[in-house]
Amino acid sequence: MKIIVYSLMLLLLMFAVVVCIGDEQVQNREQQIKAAFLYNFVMFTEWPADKLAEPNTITIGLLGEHPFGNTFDPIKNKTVKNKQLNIKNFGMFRKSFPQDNAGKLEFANYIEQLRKCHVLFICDSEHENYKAIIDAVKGYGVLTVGETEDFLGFGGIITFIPGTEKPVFDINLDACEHEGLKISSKVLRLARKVIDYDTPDAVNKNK
Amino acid sequence: MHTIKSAGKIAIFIVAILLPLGTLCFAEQSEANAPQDLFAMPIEDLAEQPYTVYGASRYEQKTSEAPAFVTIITADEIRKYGYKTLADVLESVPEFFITYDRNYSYIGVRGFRRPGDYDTRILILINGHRVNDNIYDSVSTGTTFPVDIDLIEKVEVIRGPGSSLYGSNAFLAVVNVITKDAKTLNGVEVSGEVASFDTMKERISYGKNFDESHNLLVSATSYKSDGPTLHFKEFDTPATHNGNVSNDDDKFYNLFCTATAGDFTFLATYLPREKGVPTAPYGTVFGDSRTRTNDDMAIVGLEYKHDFTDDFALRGRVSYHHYNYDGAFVYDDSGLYVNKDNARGRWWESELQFIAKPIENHKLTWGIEDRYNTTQDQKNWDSAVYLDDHRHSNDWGVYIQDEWKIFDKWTFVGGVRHDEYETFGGTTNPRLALIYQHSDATTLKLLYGQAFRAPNVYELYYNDGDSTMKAADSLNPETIQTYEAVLEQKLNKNLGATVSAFHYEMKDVLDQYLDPSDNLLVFRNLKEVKANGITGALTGRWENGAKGRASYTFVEARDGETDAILVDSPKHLAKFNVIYPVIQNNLFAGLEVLYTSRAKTLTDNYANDFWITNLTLTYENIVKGLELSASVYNLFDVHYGYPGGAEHRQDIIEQDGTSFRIKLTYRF
Repeated sequence: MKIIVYSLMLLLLMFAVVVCIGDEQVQNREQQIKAAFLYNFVMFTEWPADKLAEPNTITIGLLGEHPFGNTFDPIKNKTVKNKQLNIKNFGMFRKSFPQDNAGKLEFANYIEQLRKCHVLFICDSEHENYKAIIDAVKGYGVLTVGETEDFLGFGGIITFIPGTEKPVFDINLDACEHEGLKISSKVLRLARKVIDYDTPDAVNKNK
Repeated sequence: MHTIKSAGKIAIFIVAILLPLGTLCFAEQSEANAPQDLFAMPIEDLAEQPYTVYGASRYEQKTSEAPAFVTIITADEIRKYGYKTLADVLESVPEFFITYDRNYSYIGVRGFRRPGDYDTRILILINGHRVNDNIYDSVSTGTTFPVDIDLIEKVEVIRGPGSSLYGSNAFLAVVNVITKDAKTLNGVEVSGEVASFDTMKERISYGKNFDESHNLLVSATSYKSDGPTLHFKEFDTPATHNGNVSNDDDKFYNLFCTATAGDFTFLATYLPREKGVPTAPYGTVFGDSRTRTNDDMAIVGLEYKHDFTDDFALRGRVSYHHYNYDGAFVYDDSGLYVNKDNARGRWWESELQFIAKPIENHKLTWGIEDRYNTTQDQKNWDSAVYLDDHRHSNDWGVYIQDEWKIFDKWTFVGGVRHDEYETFGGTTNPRLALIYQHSDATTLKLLYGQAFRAPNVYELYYNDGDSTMKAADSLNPETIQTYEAVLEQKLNKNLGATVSAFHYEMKDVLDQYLDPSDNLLVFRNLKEVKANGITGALTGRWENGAKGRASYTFVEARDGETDAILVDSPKHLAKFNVIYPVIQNNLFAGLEVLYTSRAKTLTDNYANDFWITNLTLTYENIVKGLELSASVYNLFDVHYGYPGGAEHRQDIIEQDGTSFRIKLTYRF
């Protein structure tokens, strides 16, 4: 009997402590892990000097109906590579703009913002726009990250494989080199597959 | 080590380990009010983070949402702590303790283990296929476990009653073992180890990913150990070699294959083991190396998983199981003779499961499961046949569970399963859980569950020609009701804490009874057991790659009638595990310290409490793909023993002193 009383007291006490700590939104574990990976990709990728020359921020862009919520809050405004980390939420990819001059300007500006990203996460909800998005940022040193199997086929650089129990991702080394990016071997080593079309077979990598 | 009182040791443990960790948490708490430990985690560890946990609800879900207190041990920990068997893994898990009688390893959970019982109250799954055999209900987790430890990717331990989903045996806990596949073991891996007592183990594995949805893994293992020379004081007479024996040999091999093709996953594993029995159980001749047991288990299974839409999924499983037990026991009854004891089990398991979200905020899981026992035979003979019992049977169950997100933070889980057995009829077992997810850092779970275990054919029909044991013929299932409260709290970006308080009551516990009318042992629905306990556990991960866990469990399990503390029920368990990177990304030290308090034996004596320390050093990538590990088990050569079963003359069975292992693994 005593042990029950003590247990309940301990539980209540811990609960009281917990309630005081404060409120945070319930988030999806998978999205949290992916968010942490995006952060790691920033840390373990080298961009060409001109891509880092400009203002003092390093940007992770998010495209699509992503359920990240406030997942990124803990690293907002953090300093990475001597730059301030900036999380930019683009929402759903905008395909149509007014056909007037103002519209054209708006479109140019929109694409410019995408091209300025260092890492661009493209949700599976943008599946039908993969080609448009990737073509738009091609040649601007953007590390594109997707979450469907076929993402690399469109020229994406890294993709998380859906339906796995823990994070599994493939890397398209060709696309990566084409963008002038250097991904650390630390990341390459963790990839399930590193695709290099210069060599005939897909090189399977393991942990 | 034995002279200090156990209470004193507990106090030392708490002060030495838990408190410094505790102060660390609270010191850092103020600055880290959003405990997002994932961002701080080394990328290698991040890659090991499970999105979900499978076993608690029969579908994949987040650990914090699982309606149970869950622990997950990964392959990385298995390597870096130098675990040799699944029993070693489970011994490090909060609320679990093990016993080894120098033939089989047995698991105790939450203060409950009955000497002489074959782990019938824990359900073990391999990739979702249930493994407990159809004669003794057992899955021994020592060297008989049907998958080589090196092929285990992770072990999910789900405490509490699981009968509302899994039926029989999911009584105290469900342990789901997930094996490696070509996604985690790609290429060729060869591994060799040598250890104390002339022990050698070799393994070769080959994994290939053909494309995204087609892969194959095959593996073969061979293990042999001569075992130490043992001394048993109970046999210390000149006629019995002064109590010294050397027939503790152990030998197994394992063939394993898993393959995936689209929605189908195939599993096949076969592990035959042969063991010398050095303890002279059942009054056999001491030191005769012909007294030995053979256990071989094989599973061939196929799983089908298909998600038709985001809101509707189908899972199907079918498997064929084979279990053979062959025991040879040498007796001296005016001349030596060998008594043979056999069991033959063959059975099919099949299951169909549906997961659907028919309306918003509800997730329904329902299914049907069948076990068709084609063979459940037991035989005992020497010059005469004492037992030749042939059985077959069919058991089935249906279940449904609803996970209802009542509000944003409140989830209710309600499930019920009905099982039908040919032997005793039907039983229905519910589970209710209320989960309050206060924040990403804080989860409170209130759990209630009922579970059962069906009497097995060994308990029902085994007799040895009515010389010591007679058949029961009719028994009822035993039942358990468990109430539990679990609080999970992230303390800061590095540490998480769990507190679990539980109360359970068992009824109609199956136990052996000596019938005074004929002086024969027989199984009866006898006992009642009541237990209360509490566990505090901490898990930690640090930026430099260090990780660890510490836990303390207090439990009082008493006989419902006499109020006496149960036999083999240690009141205090303390566990401390840490992996520390001595050289970043290369050299890791895995330290394990386990405390088990004294446990009552069958003769009302006590097996002393003990502290065991194990240390493993692992050097990864000496050259690319090459790994070397060196382990010392029972570092301080502590003398300790476990309570023996009634078949042993030894009241306490002594365990090994310090032993060593060196292991080399190369992957290319």
